[in-house]
Amino acid sequence: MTSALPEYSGPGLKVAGVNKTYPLNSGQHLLALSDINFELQKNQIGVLIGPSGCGKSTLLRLIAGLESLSQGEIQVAGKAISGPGVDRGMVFQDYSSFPWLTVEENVAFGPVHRGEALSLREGVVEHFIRAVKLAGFEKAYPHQLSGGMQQRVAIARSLVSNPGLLLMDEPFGALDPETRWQMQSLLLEVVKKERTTVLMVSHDIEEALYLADVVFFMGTRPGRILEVIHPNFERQSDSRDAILDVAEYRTLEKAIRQMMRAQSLACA
Amino acid sequence: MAKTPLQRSYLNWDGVLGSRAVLGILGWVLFIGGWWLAANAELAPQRLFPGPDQVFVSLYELLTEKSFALDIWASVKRILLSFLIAILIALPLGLIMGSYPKVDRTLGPLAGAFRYLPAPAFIPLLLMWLGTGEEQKIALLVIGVLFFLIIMISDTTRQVPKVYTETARTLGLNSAQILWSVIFRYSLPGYVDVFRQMLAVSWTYLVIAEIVASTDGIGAMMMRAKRFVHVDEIMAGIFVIGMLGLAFDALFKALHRGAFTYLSRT
Ligand SMILES: Nc1ncnc2c1ncn2[C@@H]1O[C@H](COP(=O)(O)OP(=O)(O)O)[C@@H](O)[C@H]1O
Ligand SMILES: [Mg+2]
Repeated sequence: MTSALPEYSGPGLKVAGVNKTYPLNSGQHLLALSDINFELQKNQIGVLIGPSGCGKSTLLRLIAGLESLSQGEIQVAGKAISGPGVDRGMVFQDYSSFPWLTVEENVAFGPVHRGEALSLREGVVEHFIRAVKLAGFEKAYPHQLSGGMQQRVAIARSLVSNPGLLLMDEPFGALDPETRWQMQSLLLEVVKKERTTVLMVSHDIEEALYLADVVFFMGTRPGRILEVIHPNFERQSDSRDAILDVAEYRTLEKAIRQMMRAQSLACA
Repeated sequence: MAKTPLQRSYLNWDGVLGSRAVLGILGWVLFIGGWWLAANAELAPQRLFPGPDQVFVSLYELLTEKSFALDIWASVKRILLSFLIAILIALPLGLIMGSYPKVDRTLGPLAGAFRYLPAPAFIPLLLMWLGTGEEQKIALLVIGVLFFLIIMISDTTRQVPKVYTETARTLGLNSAQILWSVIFRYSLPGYVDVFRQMLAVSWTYLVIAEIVASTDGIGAMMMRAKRFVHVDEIMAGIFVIGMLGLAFDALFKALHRGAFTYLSRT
């Protein structure tokens, strides 16, 4: 089959000249994000990292369309966004599985409410439940699942809608270290296979370097991007610890840690 | 638990008294026993302060000879109908108020103020507007719970964590779908709890509603009994109202447990 339109070949995400101000009770304005410009190529994983309060969540929520821009433009696959859309999925740190629905019903939630036919969505739902390794738990309710499993439900629920861009705000922040490692490998495996562009917020340098094709280091007051880092060492989803022995990994880890410290000192 | 010397005994009292049901029954036995003793001590004329045995006999006679069951049914019908009307008004209002802060800021203070107006104060108005018939009684029962219901439903609605509504937005649901499939659905167990609590309040207004120009209902029976100084029948009426209140409470609790199994932590 050939399609009439040539496939879009530009960046998966383009953020241009974005400012975000919040009105404060005092009548003044808080400049949460100042002149944000960056691009994320298709099928790549970008990680936003930086001291807390530098506007990582705000930036992600702007891209998700959950907050309105004060200035600038955001394009996803070449199209300027306005408001939330199915072209962008979002996974929050807080567990977000609907408690009254089973795993299966949670994953099918988007398609069901968009009126997709059962025959169309059935296979996709099953596919993503298997992709996040929840086969056998289709009929389980969220309260019967561990934290890691709940986040897997959230990932599957987002991916089912086939978003070009998956946004994740510290999705593994509430998990214990062992589960977090497993989740990182799983995520890497799934999004590389599904060819999903991912922008993730993390405060964990190791996580950022393990997952990211590109790391955006952000600073505070005002929130802005200070550094764009392209870690280009091999990583394997089946051997999570291998990168710890890579020399470049250790150099980058140290550099980012120093930038973090400098930012915290500047704010103290 | 370690025992203090005072708790040591040769009978296994902890075992017997540890059971919730046994303690609950013990409370009732003490109450009825005390009542029986007081009534038989002739502190007051038997006519004005009958014992529990007399009250139960007259309850039996009311049911078998004076068609009290029809009165009970009339009252239950009033409670259910008025409560249904109150829910039909309060649920959409509370849902919208709890979901949209601007609506809440407009209607919240209004409902909040009306809540503190005593429902019986509306009786003269209702009598003039609606007469002495069924409508007046239903209206009073509705007013008695409506404003509390609105406030409590909007409070419950406001508890929905933002992460659920925002997730739904990113999954492409529109506002109406979010209102129904997320906010309403998440709040449903809370609503059932609110209904259970407010139905109890509804029962407390029943007698007031049925005092005014009523020919049937538990309250009307009690007013008839008062005319002939049948204190035992009045007490039987109070007893039946209490029992019905308890029964409906248990019904709502069972509904909650049966319908929302996904809330149980196991
Ligand atoms: N809704 C809001 N109203 C006012 N200020 C906000 C709001 N949301 C975030 N902020 C402020 O914007 C700044 C960035 O916040 P956030 O994006 O949550 O940072 P991060 O996720 O990097 O920790 C903080 O100073 C925060 O207090
Ligand atoms: Mg944050």
